[in-house]
Amino acid sequence: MVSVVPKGASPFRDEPYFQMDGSEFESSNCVLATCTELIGRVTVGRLRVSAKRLRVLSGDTVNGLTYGQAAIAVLKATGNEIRLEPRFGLDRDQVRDLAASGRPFGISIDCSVTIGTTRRTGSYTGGHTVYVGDYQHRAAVLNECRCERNAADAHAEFNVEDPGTHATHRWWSAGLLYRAAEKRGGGAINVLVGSDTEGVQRRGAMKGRLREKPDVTSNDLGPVVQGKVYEVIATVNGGPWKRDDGTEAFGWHQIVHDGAPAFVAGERLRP
Amino acid sequence: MSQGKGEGPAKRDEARARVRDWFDKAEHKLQGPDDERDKRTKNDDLRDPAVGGVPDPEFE
Repeated sequence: MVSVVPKGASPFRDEPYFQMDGSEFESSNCVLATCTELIGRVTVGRLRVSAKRLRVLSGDTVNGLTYGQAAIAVLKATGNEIRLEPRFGLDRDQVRDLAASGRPFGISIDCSVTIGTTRRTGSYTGGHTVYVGDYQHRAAVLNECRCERNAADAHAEFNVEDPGTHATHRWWSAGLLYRAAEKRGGGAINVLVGSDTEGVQRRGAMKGRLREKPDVTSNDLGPVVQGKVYEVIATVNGGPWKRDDGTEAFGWHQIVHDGAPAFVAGERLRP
Repeated sequence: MSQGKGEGPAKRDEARARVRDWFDKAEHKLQGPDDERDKRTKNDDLRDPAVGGVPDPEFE
């Protein structure tokens, strides 16, 4: 499998999950499709739980799920390991700080706000949830902008994956995301938050090797020590490694080893 | 264009400290199983006939 996300992307971006996956509730599974991506991010690729599976565990068979329901389904799917936390009534500064601090989140938006932009969800104009994985402030420099505004002024952007399209991870202007979220939330913003993955401590969880680059074919720098605490500088997309079930993942932890950068496959370190 | 609220630069450690200040405040959490704010996050059906069916694939 070839990742649709370029190597070197950081924080780690899991493979997009298109909610129209052929399952019975595909058209109303945006919250759970976002959860699939949140689980991938916070486990740095170790776990991939389909929205279809999460729907079964939720026991809900009527249209969309609330963030509270989704958080419970994720707990069930991960043996109480992954706790996603719904937060309500946020302002713009709070949402910026979530992403800037290293936390991924799902955000509730109204697609009637995005419909006239290149970030629209097809022709859909209703309530929706998208995955947010990063925040960047762009300086007033030509060609710095990555969002739909294509602007040269100083502005902010979020990296967004819309599970209702095949667009993959794209930058949206912060203003567009805020407006869409505030319309949906009645003036405030509602989110479903994953844990920090950047600048955190993680423990060696299983046998493995430290690598010079985020790739299993890269130079071997020594063993992962089980139980040892590692300071994770960042998470990053790299070359493929295999999960226990044989599927491929692309998430890597970047650490410092003997004063130089080193990389560990996502499943080797855990909270 | 002037920068609005939530659009300035944000360093990770400073942002993390601010999040720590408000993240567990009761005003931002569920109030109970019937929390009206959580109901607002329940999405509509993308196949709602009123909006014209399955979303179009969209590529960069």
